[in-house]
Amino acid sequence: MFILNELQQDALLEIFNIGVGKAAAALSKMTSEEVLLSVPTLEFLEWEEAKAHLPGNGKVICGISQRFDGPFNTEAVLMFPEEKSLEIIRYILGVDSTLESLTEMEQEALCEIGNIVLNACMAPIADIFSAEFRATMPEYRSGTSEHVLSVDVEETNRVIMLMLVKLQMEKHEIEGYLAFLSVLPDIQRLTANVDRFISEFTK
Amino acid sequence: MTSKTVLIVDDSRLSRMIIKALILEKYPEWVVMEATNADQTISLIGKITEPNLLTLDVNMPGMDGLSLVQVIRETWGNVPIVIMTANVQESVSRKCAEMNVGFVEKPITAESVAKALAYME
Repeated sequence: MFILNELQQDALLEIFNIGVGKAAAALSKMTSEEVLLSVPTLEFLEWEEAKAHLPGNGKVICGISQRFDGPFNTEAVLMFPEEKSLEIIRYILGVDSTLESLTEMEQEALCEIGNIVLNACMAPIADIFSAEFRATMPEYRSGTSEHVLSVDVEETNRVIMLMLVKLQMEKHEIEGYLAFLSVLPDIQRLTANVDRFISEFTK
Repeated sequence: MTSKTVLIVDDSRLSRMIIKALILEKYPEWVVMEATNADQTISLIGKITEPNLLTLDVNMPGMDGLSLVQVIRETWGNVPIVIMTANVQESVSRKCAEMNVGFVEKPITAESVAKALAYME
């Protein structure tokens, strides 16, 4: 099993915390509401094991996923329960609709919201590592969290890094998640970057 | 500058290390104390003399940094407090202004620490 030492784990969480803070600020600006953040959790698990740790309790959720390739590669996902995704998108767009699923236009808008939030998160992480991420186009997914946070079948027997942060918007009673998934050897590249970051302060 | 005491409250060991190193690099004679959460900070309040400055993280396990400000103020009414956080939402900086505490964005750099220390003046 992949294990980080205490300082590596601490640094990794703190680096992502900075990104998550920027992402929350972007989401807060769009929704005009404070976004409460949980303390992030970080686990290294095999995919089969990780499935049991995913949020959502098997309910249908909507997610916007983007892959970021750079100093390390990660799949970043912003996700909400399906009915709350409708609420967020219609609030931001200022439209009133009784449709029970997202229209194509609303899915596109949700992708753009995800794009803004996820890039706000990854940009400061790139700055910390003095590097750059290339992002894929945001992809809309709907289904259980297992489906939304899917990893390649070839990679399912490999260790994944699963980082989760809960986002709460009290006014709209919305609870969502930011999730980051990386697989070996990306985790090792990430750890090497974290070690370089730590060494700058422990010379 | 005369010797001063700074209390750093942050659940991240690395953040505490960086803040402490940057302060002591500039002011080696200063005393820098650390607490990892609100409970530890509250237990220190009765044991130590009032520091010259507190830096607090917001997002910590247990009581968050903004709630901790109110508890600290009950004993140390006028101590300068600076929130050093990655949570850069306007609502957080607004609450800081309302509570009369400083607000400094992470990541921690020499500039951000200098900005935090300036709240003592």
